[in-house]
Amino acid sequence: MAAYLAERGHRRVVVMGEGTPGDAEYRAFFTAQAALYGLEIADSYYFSAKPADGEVDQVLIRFRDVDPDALVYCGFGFHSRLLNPALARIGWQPEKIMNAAIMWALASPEWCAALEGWVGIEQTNGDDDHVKKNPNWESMLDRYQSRFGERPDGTMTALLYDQGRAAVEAVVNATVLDGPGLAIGLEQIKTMPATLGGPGTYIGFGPEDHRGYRGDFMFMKQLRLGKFHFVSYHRPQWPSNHRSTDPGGGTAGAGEQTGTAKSRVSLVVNPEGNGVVSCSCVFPPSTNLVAYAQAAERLGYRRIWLYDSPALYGDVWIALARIAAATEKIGLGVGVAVASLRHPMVTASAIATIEELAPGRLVTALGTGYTGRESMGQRPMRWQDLATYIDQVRGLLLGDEVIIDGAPAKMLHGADYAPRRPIHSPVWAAPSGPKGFATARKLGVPGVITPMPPTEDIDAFDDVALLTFGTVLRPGEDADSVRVRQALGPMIATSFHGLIHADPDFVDGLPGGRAWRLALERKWPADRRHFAHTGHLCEVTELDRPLVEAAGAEILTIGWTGSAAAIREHRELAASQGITEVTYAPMGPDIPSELRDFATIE
Amino acid sequence: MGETNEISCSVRTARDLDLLAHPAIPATWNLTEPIYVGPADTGASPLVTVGFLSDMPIGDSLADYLDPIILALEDAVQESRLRHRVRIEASHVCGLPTGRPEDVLAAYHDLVGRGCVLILSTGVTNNALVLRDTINTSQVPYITMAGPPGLPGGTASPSPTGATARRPPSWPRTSPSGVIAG
Repeated sequence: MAAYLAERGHRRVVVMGEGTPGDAEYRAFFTAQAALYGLEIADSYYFSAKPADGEVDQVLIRFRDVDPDALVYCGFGFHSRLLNPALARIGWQPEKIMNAAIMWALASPEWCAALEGWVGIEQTNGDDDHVKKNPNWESMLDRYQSRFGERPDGTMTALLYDQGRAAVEAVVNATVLDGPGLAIGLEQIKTMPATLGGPGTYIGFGPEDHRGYRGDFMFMKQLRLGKFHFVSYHRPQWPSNHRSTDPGGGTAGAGEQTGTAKSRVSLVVNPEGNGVVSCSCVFPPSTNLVAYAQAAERLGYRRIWLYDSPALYGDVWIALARIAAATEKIGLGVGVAVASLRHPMVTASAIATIEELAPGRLVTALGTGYTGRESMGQRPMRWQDLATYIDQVRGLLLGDEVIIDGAPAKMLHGADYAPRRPIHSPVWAAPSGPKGFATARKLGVPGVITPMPPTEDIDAFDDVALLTFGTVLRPGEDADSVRVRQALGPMIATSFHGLIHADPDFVDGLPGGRAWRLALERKWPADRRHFAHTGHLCEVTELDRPLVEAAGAEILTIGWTGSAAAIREHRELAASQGITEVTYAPMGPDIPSELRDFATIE
Repeated sequence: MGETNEISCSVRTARDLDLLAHPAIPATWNLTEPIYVGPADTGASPLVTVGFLSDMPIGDSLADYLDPIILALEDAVQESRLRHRVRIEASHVCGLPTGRPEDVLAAYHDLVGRGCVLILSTGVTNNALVLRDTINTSQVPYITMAGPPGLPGGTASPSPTGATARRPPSWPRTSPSGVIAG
């Protein structure tokens, strides 16, 4: 746990558990490991067998006030179900990690819900197909299902099967079938296959060596929507690895989980001195959004943008409210709000509410809704209709009377229901082609957000934000790297989602394209083909997975992918093109590390 | 691998057996009968009794815990690795932190008294610590899922000859200590 936290760039943590002898052991060991990995334990607290009323809330408020990088639960976990409700009550959503106590989630649906969002140690196969698996696990589950008619996909099953196998070996190896004889028999086990853990796990004992599991048996999963999702194997590195840098300026360290102590986004001044690029980030509204937002704020990102695709993600305005409440200063952006999804008054009222929660931090970019509408089987709306919509929203925010659907409308909110008008919250546009840019110029919006470097005249805009995708390559990584494929996979899939509508013939000429198109057409009839947008910019579906495999070395040409030096060149080029803000979309299973890697490019 | 080895198991699943309150130990339950697993033909190989102690502070999942062990034994029979017939004696004791340490100790002693020469367990850390000295005294090894540094079997007394006291194996699962112990 300490290594995992350090590798994610955390330096100050708070620790809680229970006041039992076992927890004291956990505490002592975590304290020692925290020192090794340079973690400061800013505060700690151990509960009694039965916490007093309000005690959990009081402790968490105390923890929150020391502003730690993460909340650590290190104990038996019998009180773990009290934590999430208490965190919700006090409005704190820290990054949360616990030991194997997270397996209490298996005890009941209620307990599972109470541990939502926690990362913890759960040691059966990961759910990510890019991760090499322990071959003993699925095979054992197949036999289990055949024998007992069930498939109990959890750590306890693996642990107990392994115990049964160890018992067999103890019997087989024992010279005398009594207690001491079987103890000797156990000590003869050297490299017994393990069902638990990763592909490098095995079991061995020896005289005075009674810790059976060896290798990559301990790894992290996160509970999301009631299921465990693989986060990373525990393959620890020396802390010194993170103090060096590679010649290209990237962070040192290799493997599937690396990080760095450096933690501030740098600004890039372009070589000609005519612009400054700031770094923002963009996410789909998700369960983990608050933790990502808090990480982005710590890292110094200028703004967090959120997508607006209700068929694919959570509600954008509710998500903005969540992160507005959980962050202090980072900018907030809707990128982009799809006009046709809401009456102009709904959008104006939502803007007003966020302005009340986080004054001066919001930018709302409005667009015609490519993905937001396409994923519901609709074409994007017309630019002329969007222009009308933007005018209506701006008018409402200024306190004007606006004609909408033929009737006068006006924000009627009293003092306790919205800020006083006028509300000067920036409303941008999201153009991608000539018609959109022309409309944006005509509207006189102060800024635009665009998915590609503009070839249009952008002098009229104070701010030009460019959506970017990709990943910072770490030393030793190439196109075969599991992490790289995980980080870029969603973007590959999303590219095909767009291309299939724009140019199916072109899709056929891409690696894996024809087979994918045929599979898509088999899976979804023409009137439901937009369901293929599943996982847009966040996941790779089984349908799309072959595309990632087929990408080969070309995967490294996707977006802003490359060494730190290569990405620095991208940013300098963007600055020379008049881009003022790079909006980075991290993807894959380890968003905080992607954020950190991108943030630390000098 | 002997694909045709015939397996004998006394139950379809451990869930077919009920739990009965232990007549003498509080907060402890036993299966109504032992489970027998092994090759149909054991030849001259004697019966071996293995215990299982569930010590979770809640729940009645004893049968759920036993099915993976039954499968492990049956797989080993199929592979011609296990030639003995194994009797599984199983108990559930409500362990710490909600239960009492004396009940955990009594439940372990009870399994030893029923002839177990090895005891498998859920073995959460608190109860493993309670049992540590008792296990060393009884000399009946106990496999636990816990792995804090305070459990025996570490590297505190390395002996190049291997002539050391028999100590119970502890399987690191829950503790970071396992990370560096390999």
